[in-house]
This record gives sequence, C-alpha cells and structure tokens, in this order.
Amino acid sequence: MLDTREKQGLRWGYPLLSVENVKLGYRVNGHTNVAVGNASFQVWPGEKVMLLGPSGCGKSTLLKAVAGFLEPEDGVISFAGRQDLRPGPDRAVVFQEFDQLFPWRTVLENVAYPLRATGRSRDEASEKARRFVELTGLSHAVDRYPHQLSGGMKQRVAIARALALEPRMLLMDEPFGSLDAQTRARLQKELNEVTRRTEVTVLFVTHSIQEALVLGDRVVVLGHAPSEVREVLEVTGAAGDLDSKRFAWTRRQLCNLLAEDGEEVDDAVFE
Amino acid sequence: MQSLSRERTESTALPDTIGKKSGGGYWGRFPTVARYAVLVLALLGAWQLYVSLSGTQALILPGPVDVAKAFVEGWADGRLASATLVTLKTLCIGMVIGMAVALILTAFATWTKVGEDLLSLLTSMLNPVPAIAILPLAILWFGLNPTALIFVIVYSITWPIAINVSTGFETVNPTLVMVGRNLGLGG
Repeated sequence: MLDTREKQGLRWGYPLLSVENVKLGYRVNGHTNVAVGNASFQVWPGEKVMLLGPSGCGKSTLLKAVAGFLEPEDGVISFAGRQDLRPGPDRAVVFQEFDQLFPWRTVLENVAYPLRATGRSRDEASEKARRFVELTGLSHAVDRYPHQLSGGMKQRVAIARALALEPRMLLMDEPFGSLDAQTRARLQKELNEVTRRTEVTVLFVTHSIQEALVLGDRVVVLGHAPSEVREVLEVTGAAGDLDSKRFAWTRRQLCNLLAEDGEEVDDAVFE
Repeated sequence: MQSLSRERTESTALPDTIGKKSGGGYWGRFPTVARYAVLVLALLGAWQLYVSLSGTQALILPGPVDVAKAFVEGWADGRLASATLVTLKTLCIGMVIGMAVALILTAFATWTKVGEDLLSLLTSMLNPVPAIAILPLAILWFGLNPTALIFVIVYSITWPIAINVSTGFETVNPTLVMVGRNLGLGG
C-alpha cells in the first residue's frame, strides 16, 4: 500500500513545497529572536500536512514564511519549483483572527473580491463565489455582513474565500483556535469534506493533537523555539476509528514528542 | 435617590445608571430638546436682562433683541448674503488646497521613511502654532487680500488632516493588510 507521498510522487515527481534547513527569526531592537532553528519537510500535492508544536515554537512563523510574508534567515523554501516567494493567491491563507474578513462587504462580496482582485470578471467572480459559499454551507447567509455572523460562520467564509481562488496550496494558521469545542469539531469535519472534494493541498498549523489527527495525512512535529523538526508522522486514517489501537498509539507518540524534555506526560494536558 | 433604590430591589441585574451620575432627578425627566431649549432661553433672557438694566451702549454689548433685528435687516438687503458667499468661497478654496497638500504629505509619509520623518517633524513643530498667529505673517507676505486668508486656512487644516490620515493608515487592521498582500496586492 503506497503512502500518500509515493502516490503523489508518481504523478508529480517533485514535492509541491520543499522546506530545507530553514531558519527564521524576528529582528527586535537590533538582535534576532530565532523562532525556527532548522526546519526541513516536504509537502506533496493533494496531501494535508499539519504543523504541530507547542505555543511559541515558530509554526505560525514557518507558515508565514511559506506564504511569503517573511524571508528565511537561512535555508531554502521552494514552492512549485520557485524559490523567490512573495505573497500571492497561489498560496491562499486562512488566518486565525475573526476579523480577517472585510467588515464593509457582505459574505458573497468577501468571497468574490479576491477573484475580482486577481483578474476575473464580475460575473465569473460572482458565480464562483456562490459555488464556494454553497460548498461551505453558507447559502442562507450570502447577504449578511461579518458582524452579523457567528465565529464559526466567519471562519467558514474565510475558508470559502481562500478556496475560491483555487490555490495550489491552502495555508491555515490555527483557524479554529478561537472557536468553542463543538463548532471546532463541526468545522473540522466540514473541512475534511471540502478538501476531499476539491483535492486541495493543505498546510495547517495547530497546537492540538486531536486536530492534527482528525485533519492530517502527515504531522510535522516541531520542538520548542528555536525549533527543529522532531519527527514526521504518517497519520492518515488514524482518526477514523477513535477506539483503535493505532489511534491511541499515534496519539501517545505525538504526546511524547510534544512533551518538554524530562517532563512527565500527562494525558489530560494535551487534547 | 428613590428611583435608584427601587431599581435595586426590583431586579438583580445591574441597572443602566450604575457608574453614571445620578439620573438627573426631576430635570432629567424632560426630553433633551426641551431641556436645552429652556437653558438657551434662560441664557438669552439673562443677557437681555443685563443689557436692559445696566444700560450698556449698544456698540459695546448689544442685547439679543438688537442682534436679532440686525440679523433680519442684514439678510433683507443682501449684505449678509454676499458676505457669506465670499467667506464660503475663500473657505472652499482653502479647504481644497489644504486637503491636497495634506494628502501629498501623507502619501509621501506612508510610502517612504524619509516622508514619515518629515511629516512627523513638521506636524509636531507647526501644529501647535495656532493659525491666528500666522495671520500677521500672512498679511505681511501676501497683503490684505483673500490670498492671505487662504494661506491661513490652508495652514490651519493641513496638519490635523495629515495627522488623521496617516494615523488612519497606520491603524489599519494588520490582518486585512496581510489578506490584501496574500492576493498579490501591493502599495
């Protein structure tokens, strides 16, 4: 049974995203705070890779670098063969904040705007926007403004907006982090449905083991800052049966990897 | 006092008046328009009373009745109308020029660091100087004509506009800026 990497590799020959020995830092008052010490991993087309790590380990920083907002201090990030990465609609981003939508536009206009901004005609943008709004289950709210939506709905709109661009990769920075557990679980399920139907490649940042197992094909585990890739685990299907040994084993693996060195792993600590 | 204690016993939720000064009691019961109208009339009345009783010359301090009479006469024979028109014209020209100057400065400030420093320096040095202090200088430079006035108007509005617009740009929600950049938009 071929794993996802090999399956896609046959089709493409090279990974969609390749992060090699990347070092990322923030310049503060003259000296650099290193967030990511040395990260290397690959993302193949069609797969869903989760960046998992404790708070402050630089996973969001890594995502921003892939998106093109930050330049690596060291190392190489290549996307679809290109190395000079500026922000662009081929790597659409879904942020964590609820205020990532334009508050002065309706749901439909928010989803249609990126399409207009990237050159589509008004009719084409509108029609496409409607399709993706329907895909994320928001047809009943097309004419509402962001302040009239719940948190979960706002994130759905953000996801619809990103997907409507039909990006080569969907970058998601803990988009469900600010939601309550029930809404989060529902949106995770919907995201799985939607990504299955659109076959989009996803790079998802999370600090939750549960989320990593439910959504991911592979999990890249990062250590504390300055972080390095501790391990890359294959988790496809592990969350399918919550009682299976495989799920328990994978979960324990991830717990151990996330635990601070020397710290006793407490099951209740990690979700 | 009475209404507050009644509210406390009737509901467990905090009443809206918590934190505000006492609701105003008897006076506060009247609608806003009525309250303000009464106060304005009282002030006018006091003014008229003073003028009538103290016998001040109308040249020094006219009473509200005299002012009203002059107002009506001024409109009737067109003096006020033409004067108002001239003032409006001067104001409009001043505003347009002032806004243009402010926008140019702000655009420069938003796009370059040099511009940002320049604007910061200019506004902190010149904004505190009131326009009325510039008036004598303006008259000296441009003479006693509308140009001097326009200069003063431009001076007085440019700095506040520049400060407000650049603050507006600086306080744009950074997430929205990232969304825009993600779409490939620049500037």
